[in-house]
Amino acid sequence: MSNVTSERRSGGLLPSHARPGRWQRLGRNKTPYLFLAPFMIGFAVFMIFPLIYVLNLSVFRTKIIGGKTFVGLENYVKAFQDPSFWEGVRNVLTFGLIQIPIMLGLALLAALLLDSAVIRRQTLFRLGFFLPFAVPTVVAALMWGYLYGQAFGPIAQIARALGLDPPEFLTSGTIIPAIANISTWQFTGYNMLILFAALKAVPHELFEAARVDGASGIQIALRIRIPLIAPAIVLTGIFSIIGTLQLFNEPSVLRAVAPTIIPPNFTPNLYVYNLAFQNRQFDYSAAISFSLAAITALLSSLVLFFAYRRRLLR
Amino acid sequence: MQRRTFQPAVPGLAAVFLLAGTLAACGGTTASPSSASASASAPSASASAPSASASAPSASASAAGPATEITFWSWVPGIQKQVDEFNASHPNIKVKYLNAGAGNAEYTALKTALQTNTGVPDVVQIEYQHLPSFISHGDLANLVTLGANDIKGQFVDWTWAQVSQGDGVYAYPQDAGPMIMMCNKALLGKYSVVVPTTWDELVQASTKLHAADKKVYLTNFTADQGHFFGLLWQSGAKPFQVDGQNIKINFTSPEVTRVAKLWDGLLKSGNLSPIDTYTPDWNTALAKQTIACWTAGAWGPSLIESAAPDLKNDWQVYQMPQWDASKPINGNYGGSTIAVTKASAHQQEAEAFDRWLNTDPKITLDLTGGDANLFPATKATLSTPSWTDVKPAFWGGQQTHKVMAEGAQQVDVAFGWSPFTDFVYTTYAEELTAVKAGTITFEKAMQDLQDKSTAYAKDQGFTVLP
Repeated sequence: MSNVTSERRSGGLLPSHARPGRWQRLGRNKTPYLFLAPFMIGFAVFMIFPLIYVLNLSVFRTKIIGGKTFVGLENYVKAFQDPSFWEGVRNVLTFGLIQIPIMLGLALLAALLLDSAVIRRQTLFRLGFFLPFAVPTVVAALMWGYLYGQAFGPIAQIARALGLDPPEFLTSGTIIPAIANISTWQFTGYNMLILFAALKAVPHELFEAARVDGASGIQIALRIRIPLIAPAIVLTGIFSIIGTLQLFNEPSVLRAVAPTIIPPNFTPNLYVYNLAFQNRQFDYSAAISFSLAAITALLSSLVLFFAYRRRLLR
Repeated sequence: MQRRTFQPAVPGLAAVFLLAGTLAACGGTTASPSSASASASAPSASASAPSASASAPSASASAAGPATEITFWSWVPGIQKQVDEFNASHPNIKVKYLNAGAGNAEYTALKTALQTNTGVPDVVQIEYQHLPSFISHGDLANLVTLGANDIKGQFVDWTWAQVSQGDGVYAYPQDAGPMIMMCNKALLGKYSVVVPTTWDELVQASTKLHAADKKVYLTNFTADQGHFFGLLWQSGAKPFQVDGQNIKINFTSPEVTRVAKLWDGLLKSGNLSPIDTYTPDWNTALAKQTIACWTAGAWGPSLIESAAPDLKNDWQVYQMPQWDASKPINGNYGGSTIAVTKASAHQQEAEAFDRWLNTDPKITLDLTGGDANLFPATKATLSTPSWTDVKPAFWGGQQTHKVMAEGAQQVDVAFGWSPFTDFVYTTYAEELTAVKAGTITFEKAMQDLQDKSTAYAKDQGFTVLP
């Protein structure tokens, strides 16, 4: 009997007037929303709204004769059967297969060298590696377009001065490596910086312990440092895949120098641009944009899955 | 076509920047200088959009007194002068001029204005190849009801055919680009190569010249769409025939095939320079005399003059090489029309200005000079001695305008464009990349163009007739 009353009492330990009301709870919790608001508003206006707008565009088709009609997924079906689109996808994938390993390999090597005591004047080297990233992509492409030039480029001029045939950089067979070279030049420093920051976060006691155990510098790099910064490497890998699939500036600028080498569908983004602003097929180009986003998401997920396969399957 | 302002590049870094500037100004039209013509003088379309919408066609001319206000979009350099003259001599009409960008930049602004029905200009410049697209969309006023046929006889016949569809007339021709061939005569003479007058001779000449000097080529390979369609036109081909919602597409006719085979042969022979027209390399090649000839519109000479200023008196203008020397045909490459929009609230005044601008003898002659540098589209100006007898300094005393005027009379009247030139041009550029890479022949590219254009036309709701 007394137990029951005590339970009741304990159940009502808090006087009802002291309980936070609905309004009060919101009042207490609204501070984080206020702080989030500037971002959320920007996100909604500049991300969510355009996405819905484009998605809406992509399910219509505007004909010269017949006007605008709802076509559902027809544009997407067309996109997945469009050889011009897939040729662009194939180009960027080829580009990625060549460029990403080279760039990340160089970035990793540079980061390891900078983090070890091998190199003096670290800041200078770090800045030097990073500097190309500060050059706008369009300017970089213009600059390389000049360097690659057949009749007026300095490389061609040097070759001619030496009595050699100037090397051709902008031909059908060499255009992908030529663009890969520009991207590598530009983004190696950026990736190096991410990897370098990750290396800095690794406790140095680990290396010292390894050294005491008699591990060489290379062994420490391969067995300790690289495994420890693996998440950062995966991150740079995913950034690179996304960047690769969205390749646009370099081919777009180089088209002025090599119009017969770079077609309007050289990369999917270039294709989207030309469909929308040259052909005025806004609806179809919207569908291609979404298809490209789907492919990017799929590839990124695949990389993540393989990178963390063991952890996921455990 | 005011090609003169399509800045030919000085060899060097500046060249690349110049070209990229051109690119930016044209909203990314790369291989198409036909729309890039006056880009250097064109501010971006977006910058001019606000002022365009501010001057939406309306009867609110209260501030300007009784004068009816109309807006005019054009990218002809220095045309403000002609607009001022019109306003001075026509007190009851006030034309407000706006440069809304050159070629594609202007069309993008125009399309946006048409879509939202705000700020649509009353009078607007449109290139020949893009006119059918605007006609099909129903954007342009039929000028026949405003008396267009009264001035029909004043224009060169083929230019009139270009602005007509069925019984309607949808613009007045402003300028033209009849094709010509320009050759470095001194260079050809050095290797005793005769200037070709037929395409067969051109093939032989290119073999002979390249054999004589491995560094020198007669001409080059280009992906430029305007150039290619000019060549088809010059071959007597009729790739598109439009009649309302019906369209005939033919990229497999003998007239098309012989052009394709010619370039296939030249490509295979290795006697063709791989440098594309309008690139910095091309400018260098002209200056260094490794490319001897160029076929282009009548606006071409100014580009040669600025690419190779040191070669004064070496170059000459010739008629196009012919397929059948006994039946000479010419094609057109470039040029614009001036149309009146259907959305205009003052079509009558707009037509009056359009008519004055393109038929007034003084004005059409003035526009052939100065910054505009237009090639005339009226019969009167084409035969005016003060124009025909000009001997431009660079061309060694040759009366170049006479050669061009003769070529202008030979342009095939029956050539027509599709209502979706943008698509055709993009597809052509795609195909030509494969041709250049050697994965397909030019002839195959034509078959692809046939198939893809047919599919697109059906997709756009046209009935494709066999």
